[in-house]
Amino acid sequence: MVDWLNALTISVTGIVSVFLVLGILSMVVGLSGRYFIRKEKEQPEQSKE
Amino acid sequence: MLEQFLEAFQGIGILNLTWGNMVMWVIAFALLYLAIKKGVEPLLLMPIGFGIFAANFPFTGLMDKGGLFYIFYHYGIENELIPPLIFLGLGAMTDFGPVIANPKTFLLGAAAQIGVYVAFFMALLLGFSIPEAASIGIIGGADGPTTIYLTANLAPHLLGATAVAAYSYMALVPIIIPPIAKLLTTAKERAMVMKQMREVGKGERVVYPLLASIVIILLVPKSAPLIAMFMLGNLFMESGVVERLTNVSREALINIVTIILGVGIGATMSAENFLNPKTIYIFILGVIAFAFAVAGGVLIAKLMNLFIKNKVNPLIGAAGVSAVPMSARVVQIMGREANRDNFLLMQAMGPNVAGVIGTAVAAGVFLNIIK
Amino acid sequence: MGEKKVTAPLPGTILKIKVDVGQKVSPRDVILIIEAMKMENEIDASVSGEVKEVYVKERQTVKTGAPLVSISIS
Repeated sequence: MVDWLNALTISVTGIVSVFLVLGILSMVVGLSGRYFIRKEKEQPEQSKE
Repeated sequence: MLEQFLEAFQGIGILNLTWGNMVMWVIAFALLYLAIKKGVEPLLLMPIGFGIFAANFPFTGLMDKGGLFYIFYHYGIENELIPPLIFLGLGAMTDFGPVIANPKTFLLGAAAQIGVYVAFFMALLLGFSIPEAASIGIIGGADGPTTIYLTANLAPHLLGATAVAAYSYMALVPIIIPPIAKLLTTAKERAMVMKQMREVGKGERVVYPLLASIVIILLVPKSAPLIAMFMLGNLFMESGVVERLTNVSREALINIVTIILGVGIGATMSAENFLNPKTIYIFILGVIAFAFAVAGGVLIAKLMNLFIKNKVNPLIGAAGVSAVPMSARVVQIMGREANRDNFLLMQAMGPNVAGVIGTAVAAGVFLNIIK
Repeated sequence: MGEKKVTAPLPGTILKIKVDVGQKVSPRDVILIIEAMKMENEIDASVSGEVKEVYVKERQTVKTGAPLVSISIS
């Protein structure tokens, strides 16, 4: 019959990986967003100089 | 001479049409009716419906080795060529702006995958094998090409049923989401207006597909075929310098491969493959997967609100079931019902596109572990 | 008394403008329709008053926060 232990491993790995991947992606995109926002703010000041 | 005559006569189709063939025709006509008269996913259900119809004539050889539909199926679907090409086209039409502006909503795209695993367990309880259960569970991601990709890999005999279930439930998103989302939220929560999103510049948009590929493919290598093509399409579009490639990916190419995909899937639906209790179970499990996906998205959105400053309207969690952009539209309608000045459409696009990634990741993990 | 600027709550294309300058509106009147993601979104006046100015044209694309119409509140 069904190997329940295997099934449990698969689904736990699955859920954890999905949250991990999207969590890390969220952090990375958040950080890069901060960088881009800062760069954008700097630019108009530079052009005035 | 009489014998030869009789033999030739026996090769005539009409004498060899089985009951199974005719029942499959009825199913084919039902799908064609839904596609043509009701507008239910016509781009897919029409080729699938006609594929079923044509493949259920006797003696055509369409699905024999070397037959036309066999070639569609074998080279397009079994070899996993077409779903990634569809992802290329989807990438070239997906605006990641909302999720880049509000990256927390990536988590809502993950949350909606809970439905995948709930349905996975229920399928096991109903006696499906692990590879079959994974293919059924992934229906809950509400992503057609990913469902087809995973099923073709793990349980090709279920391809017809899972594909038709995935696409028909996607069309039912406006019916499935509202009752569940309403049950789990108060009118006050639904009325909440979210903070306006910042604008995402071009540089950021161009960098995003590369960043996302690095993170996702490094962590889940088996998601590469889908994710790489998805991000390539997105890079085409956002770079703005290859308009020809962008347009061909999201128009001509995606349309061409959709025809082959639809017909190829329809052709796998022979009477012995489709007419058994498993198909009914798959449809029931599919709707359960969808329901839990909606619930997962909404509940995690509420959980998230306990910790973050710029709160999200929990309704947008429901858009984590991909079905782009249908579920975002449903969320917009529900938010507006609660508050005339509430416009959640763009906010809901965040979890919506994150859900596509979430489902592709879930499929990649299944492929990584299940042999 | 005062003035209210109605802004675009989401980015899209102005599909239809339903008011003219000088027209009286009440809060639940639809002043224009923005199409976004192939979906028509009705924008309400949300105050009662008189339309003072219309900043956009039909088929024009707008970004979130773009001024659409100003209404002098009565």
